[in-house]
Amino acid sequence: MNQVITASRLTDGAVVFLGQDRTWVERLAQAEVFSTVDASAEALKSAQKDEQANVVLDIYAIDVAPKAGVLVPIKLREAIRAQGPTVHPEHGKPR
Amino acid sequence: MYRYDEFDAQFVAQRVAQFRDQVARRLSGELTEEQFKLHRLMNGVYLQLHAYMLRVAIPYGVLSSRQLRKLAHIARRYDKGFGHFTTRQNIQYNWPALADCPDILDELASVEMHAIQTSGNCIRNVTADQFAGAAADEVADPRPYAEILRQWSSLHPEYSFLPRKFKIAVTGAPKDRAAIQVHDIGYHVIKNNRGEIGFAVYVGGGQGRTPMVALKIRDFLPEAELLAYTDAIVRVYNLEGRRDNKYKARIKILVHEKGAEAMRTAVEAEFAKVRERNLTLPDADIQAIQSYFALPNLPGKPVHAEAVEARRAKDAAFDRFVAVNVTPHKVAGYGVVTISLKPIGGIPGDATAEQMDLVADLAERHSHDEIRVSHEQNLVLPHVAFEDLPAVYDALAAADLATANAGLVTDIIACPGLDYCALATARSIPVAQRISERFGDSPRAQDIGDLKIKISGCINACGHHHVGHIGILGLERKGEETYQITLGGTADETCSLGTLTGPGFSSEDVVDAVETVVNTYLGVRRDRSEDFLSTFRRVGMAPFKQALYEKNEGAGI
Ligand code: SF4
Repeated sequence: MNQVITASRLTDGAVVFLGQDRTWVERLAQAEVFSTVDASAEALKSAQKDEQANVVLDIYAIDVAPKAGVLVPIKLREAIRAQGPTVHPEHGKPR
Repeated sequence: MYRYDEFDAQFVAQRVAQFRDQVARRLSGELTEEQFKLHRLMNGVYLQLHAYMLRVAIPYGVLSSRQLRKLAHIARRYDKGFGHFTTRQNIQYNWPALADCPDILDELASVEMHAIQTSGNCIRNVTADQFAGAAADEVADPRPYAEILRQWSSLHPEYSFLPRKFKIAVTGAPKDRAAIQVHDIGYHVIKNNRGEIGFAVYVGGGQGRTPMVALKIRDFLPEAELLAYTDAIVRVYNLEGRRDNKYKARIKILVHEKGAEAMRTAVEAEFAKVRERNLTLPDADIQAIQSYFALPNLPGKPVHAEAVEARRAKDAAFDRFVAVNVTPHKVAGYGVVTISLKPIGGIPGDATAEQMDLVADLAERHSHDEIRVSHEQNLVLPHVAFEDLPAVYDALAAADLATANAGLVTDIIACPGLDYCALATARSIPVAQRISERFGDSPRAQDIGDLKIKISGCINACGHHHVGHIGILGLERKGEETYQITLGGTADETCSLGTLTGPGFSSEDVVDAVETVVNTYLGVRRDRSEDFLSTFRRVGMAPFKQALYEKNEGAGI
């Protein structure tokens, strides 16, 4: 199992992920990957403080899996959040 | 068009100032999301998959050039250069920053627009026929009535927290272009046999997870009683509508559970009481509002403009545009021009800032400064002299806005779906794009004739799939997008809900399935004059089902 923590940034609603140094990053590739349920749950819990601090909102964990050598969300909804609208690649995020 | 008076202007300005303060308090951390959410929604600000989304009301679909230019400016300055016109005659911006929202609302206020009541359990933007005030078949212009309803329902103290959202639509022509029978209240402006104006009243229509065609609750309501009767209906709903279950809270469920007769009796009893409260509209007030919507001065013109006929004879693309996208106007020598926001393979309802500016310029030059937005996600120039058609067409063509497909198979309604929407279960736009590419601008697409395909990305049905001749509903099954197809729906005056063909189709197969449906229609229609809906009503589901599931065993999932 691999999970990352995601949220929406308060100021602009942008999709963000919890990064290596526990700051919020825009690219999934820079997110910290948790490989156990406990690690993910603990990260989620500690990330909640940023919701209280009004940095982000709607924090939750998502499942990711390697595809063609990079980690991508398993669910289509999360893949689209991570990448941007499929119909507007130019407004998407660089991997 | 209606112009704000001092009171309107002050009210909208105050509301923006309030919201500015609320946003500042949210950004500073003084308000939690839970506290703030209600305020942002009351001002049209949603949180979607990638960003906030701002939904701006275009009252009954009417815009001036100045307003459309402002919408373009907002797209350019605060967003990513485009906006999305929706099935509710709203425009949605997909990427505004929260801190910018008060500035955007200030900009909107400067052109007499706002985002109030574009969300929440209140009376939403009142919608109307996009050809209002121009169509040749019109009995009376529905816009004054929509405006009266808008003024009455704006921040109505009794109706700001209804059991659920509430949508009213008004049409003034026998041909219903405003889908009134799938609204909470639908008003159909008619004349009685004494020549008096009034309304046939429909209640309890709606789509979503429990689609229903409205009940005709009154054959003729005198014009002056518009507000009294609306008040009676909404009051009965407010008191009796279910607040215990979000999915059963719309008025359609009340009408269904209570029964048609009991609903009618309750509304009429309330109406008798309301009348004593003096909501009857004085003639002078109706006329005052009507004067804002007077037909512009359109000098009579020849029905056959020579330059147009000559161009039609030698330019097949122009000829097709005139045949397909221009509708008869009530004044001879003029046409109502539909500007399709459905270029082949494009995103239904999206327009760039440059396109909006161009349409605003054209409206100023050729349509008496008027633009309309249709619930079918297109724009309209309502008053174009025939002799101006070549110039209008050339300008539109240069901006990729001259697709001659109004009402045809590629004029597809699609909601934002999983590409943007936080509630979606599947994507809608890419399906629309692929269908559009499949049929393209070919002679076959012309030959198919009137065919409305409508696509929603979840059961909320913003893409009106229940009333599509071909309706497509995107769902998720075992992590995959799957699409159910319904046939035979329509939102016009013969309103009916589509019937499910059977099991759904994968994303890969759904376009083939639509093509199979279309080919089946072409095979069974009597001739070209029998359109898809008439054919379906005559032959029923059987041949379509057979073509979809029996010939191709295993194609469906
Ligand atoms: S139908 Fe569903 S997916 Fe489409 S816009 Fe409405 S809520 Fe979103």
